[in-house]
Amino acid sequence: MANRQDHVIVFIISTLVFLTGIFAGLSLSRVKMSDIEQRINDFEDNMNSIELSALLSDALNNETISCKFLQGKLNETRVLLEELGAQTVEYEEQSKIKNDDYKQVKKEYNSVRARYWLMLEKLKNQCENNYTTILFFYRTLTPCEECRDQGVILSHLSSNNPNLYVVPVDYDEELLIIDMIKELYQLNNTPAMIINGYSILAGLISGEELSAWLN
Amino acid sequence: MYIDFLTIISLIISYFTIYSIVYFLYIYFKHKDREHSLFHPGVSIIIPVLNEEGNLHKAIGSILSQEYSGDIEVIAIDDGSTDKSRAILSDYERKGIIKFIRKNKPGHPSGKISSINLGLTKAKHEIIGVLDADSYLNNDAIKNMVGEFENKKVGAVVPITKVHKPRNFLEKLQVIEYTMSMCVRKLVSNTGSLFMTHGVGTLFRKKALKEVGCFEENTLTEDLNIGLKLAKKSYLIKSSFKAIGYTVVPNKTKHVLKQRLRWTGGLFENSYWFKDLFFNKKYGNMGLFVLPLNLAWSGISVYIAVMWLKDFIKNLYYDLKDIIITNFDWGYFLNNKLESLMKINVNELTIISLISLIMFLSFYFLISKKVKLTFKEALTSYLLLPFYFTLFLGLNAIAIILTPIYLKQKGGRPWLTDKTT
Repeated sequence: MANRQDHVIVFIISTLVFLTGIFAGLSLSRVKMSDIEQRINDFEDNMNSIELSALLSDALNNETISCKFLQGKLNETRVLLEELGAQTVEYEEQSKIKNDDYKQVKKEYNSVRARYWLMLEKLKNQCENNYTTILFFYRTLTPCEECRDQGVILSHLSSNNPNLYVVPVDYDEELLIIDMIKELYQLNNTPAMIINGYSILAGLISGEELSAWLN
Repeated sequence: MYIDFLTIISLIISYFTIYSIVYFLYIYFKHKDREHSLFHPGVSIIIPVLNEEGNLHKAIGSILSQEYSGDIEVIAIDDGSTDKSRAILSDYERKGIIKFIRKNKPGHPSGKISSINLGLTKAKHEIIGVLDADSYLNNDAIKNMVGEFENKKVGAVVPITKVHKPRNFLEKLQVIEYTMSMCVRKLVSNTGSLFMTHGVGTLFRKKALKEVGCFEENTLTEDLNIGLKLAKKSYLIKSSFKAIGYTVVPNKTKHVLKQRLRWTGGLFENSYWFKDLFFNKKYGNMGLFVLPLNLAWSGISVYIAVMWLKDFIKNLYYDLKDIIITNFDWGYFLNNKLESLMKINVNELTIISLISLIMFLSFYFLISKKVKLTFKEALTSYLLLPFYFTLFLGLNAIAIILTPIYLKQKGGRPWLTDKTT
């Protein structure tokens, strides 16, 4: 006959098994988070060296060599940014119990993306390059179905177009640079896109419309 | 650390799943096989018959070939068959092998339960067995069950049930279900908490049946109803791994669904009628744990099925949308889809699910050995497990969801009458 003692033993075993699973999951989540943090640090190091090089080029007035060099570095950084983006999305979607550090990591991630966009704009103007930049604002604090759709459209367009640089940033992120951009471009809603630093497109724009606009 | 509400629900269900599997594994390892008994009382086997010409020889033959030294009486009650059943039974009667009761005129059946209750009044022995006409027992089933009745508190003993010659996909899925449910019942019986019988050779104590008013005619599941009636009178229901009954199972989806509707309807109506057993300390482990667990799993399986369906529909919706908004660029879509399918989603829930799966597979391995599944049967059931957990449990969830409508069609049964004794 089962008695209270049996259930106590079963409870202890079950709880141990359950907590093992939780602990393993949290440890894995911590490892993923550390990896993302490391990549952000690598990215920031990259951006620091690019920005320093840009300063040097300004100081020496030598744009020809620096444009070629900086463009190459920015392309490498583009790949890093895409990988970092994929990792962050994966962490966001897969981890059910999110680490407290994640908020800070997200902030840093949005910050480096904004820096990347600024450098792209600077280089475009300085070197008269003919690539197109799109700073894409989406939001996460409230549901935004159109933000998701716009993201898919932009990913598709940029996969077919190596001269298109799409930089997504979170509209709701509390960062000075993002607040300044929102203020400067009078952005009130999402999705919103700033194209080549001056044109603003608000609301969901279809792939065809966007392609036609960019051409 | 932050967790959303749905994740909390999923974690609770995961813990519940682990607890259930650990409980059954614990009871399995704690179990000791009963020693062979010399108690050999007379047994009366009642076989209710309605148009079973194809199955009668096997059913009656399995009783006649029992390796049992006590007296066995076979009572067949025909409920108005229009096929050759009556002729077959008359032949056995002529040879003095069985008692044959012609309950109704051909074409005018009045129900299996009334047949069983009639058989009870004609049975000469104290131990009564009920065998559905489309079922049969292994040779030492009765020998391995009667010993339990030495304990005066035992009201019924149920054999393990296996599927007779599973042929198609649906029948083979039911092999898994029967293997698990029968073994779980056996393990639960070891804790004195079994509350269910079935019509494939269950033996009853006549005195106990009379005390609880025999079988209830106006219920969807008389086997559950009689089990709860016996449990309410504090009779024990035991089970034996060594006594095996074989039965035919439905082989078409609509028949399986109809069967599940009846089973779930029976579970709901009997749970309502016997609601005072739930969470009642007087009924020990059965009242406090097993009965609520059994009912809770109905709700949990519906929740899991609904969540799975919701995710499936959501993913399908977004896939279709993405194809449209990327202007039907199939290459891009398929590439992304393949990439996302290759990703292994590892988080706290998937790790816990993996641990639960390993524990469950270990448990299934142990019980399939206990019920002596052949190597081919065991291998087939392992290969079909993914289908069982998706398609079959999905079908069960659909039946559970449709059950209130089914019960309403039957006249709103639980709310009108009280069938407790």
